[in-house]
Amino acid sequence: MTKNKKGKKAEKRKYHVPNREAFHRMNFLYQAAHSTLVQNPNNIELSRFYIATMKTIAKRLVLRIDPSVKRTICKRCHTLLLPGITSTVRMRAKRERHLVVTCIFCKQVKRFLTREGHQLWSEKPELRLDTQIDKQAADKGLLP
Amino acid sequence: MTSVNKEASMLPSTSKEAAVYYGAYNDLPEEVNKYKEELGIEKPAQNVFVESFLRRTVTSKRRVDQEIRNILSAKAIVMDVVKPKKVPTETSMKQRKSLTAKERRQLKIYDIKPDHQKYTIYEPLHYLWKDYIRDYLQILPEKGFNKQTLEKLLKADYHGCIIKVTKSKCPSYVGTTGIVVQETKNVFKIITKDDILKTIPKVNTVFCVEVQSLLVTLYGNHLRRRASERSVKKFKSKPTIDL
Repeated sequence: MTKNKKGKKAEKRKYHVPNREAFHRMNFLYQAAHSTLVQNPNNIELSRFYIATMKTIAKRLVLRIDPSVKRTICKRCHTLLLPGITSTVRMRAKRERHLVVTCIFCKQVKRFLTREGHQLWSEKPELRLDTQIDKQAADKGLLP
Repeated sequence: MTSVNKEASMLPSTSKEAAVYYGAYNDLPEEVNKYKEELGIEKPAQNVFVESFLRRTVTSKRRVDQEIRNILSAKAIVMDVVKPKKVPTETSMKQRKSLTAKERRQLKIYDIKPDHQKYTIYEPLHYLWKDYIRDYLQILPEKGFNKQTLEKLLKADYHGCIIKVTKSKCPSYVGTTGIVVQETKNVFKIITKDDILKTIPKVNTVFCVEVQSLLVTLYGNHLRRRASERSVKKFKSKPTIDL
């Protein structure tokens, strides 16, 4: 019995994420922005609005937006940057080799270096939540 | 004029006059004083020069006279502190990376164009919202709501849900149904089935929303927050005063 209970608690803890509701909502808004843009590629205004609300939620609760999401948002006009539809993506060899994503509407530029073996901070395996939780659980002897 | 003449008189002169000390504020030497009128030297009226100088330099235009009176009454005033107002130059405007609220309003970046005000465009959004609210609340429709889910519902997102006005102080709003497209602090913008974008104020209106075949009544007076702020705010249970 006790073992079972403990297991359940560990399970619960494993899935506990602070601000889960806000993340849920942000996820929905991001998807909504995508869906409106896919329905009609000219309907940027609404997708912009959704992205802007998503960003303000993140700002209010001090949540970090993952780079994979953040890199698809224009920081100037909150447009969802889809290559070929709302942005142009070009490789540039000058200076250091890098990727240039330009927002079609406000011409804001995003540059990403294409360095070999570069790893984003958020992609480091030791920082991931599930590995952290597993580690904590292993320390406490909850997991074999 | 006068100062130049004074300077000239102060120049180190011949050995005979070397013994006489000429300070900056001394009277002019007699040799010069004799030909005062020919040289055009006159003792200026007191503070005329100072006053005209101050008139040119004092920046606050409103109270020049008073300022000058203050200065002439020998109060210490630090002139350096007066800083000119910074006017945003073109380069500084270019360097700014985000749009200001004013620019956003001018560019109308959130306004939906008339061509996109069509019900069919937003149907998929409604299906997306249905999925979202199901995942979000995680309830069984047979069991109904408990207090927690109701609280959750207040913090939920309503973009994409079908909303119906059940009660309102303005009777013409009652009965309008449509998909919520935008939510602002005081207003829901909905698109009705006959492709009309309607703006419905939250004040003094009661909305009805269908969540998983359950009907929820939302009191607009309690929802008067910006859509993004609602997820942060803690709600207190208020007795609802009917319209």
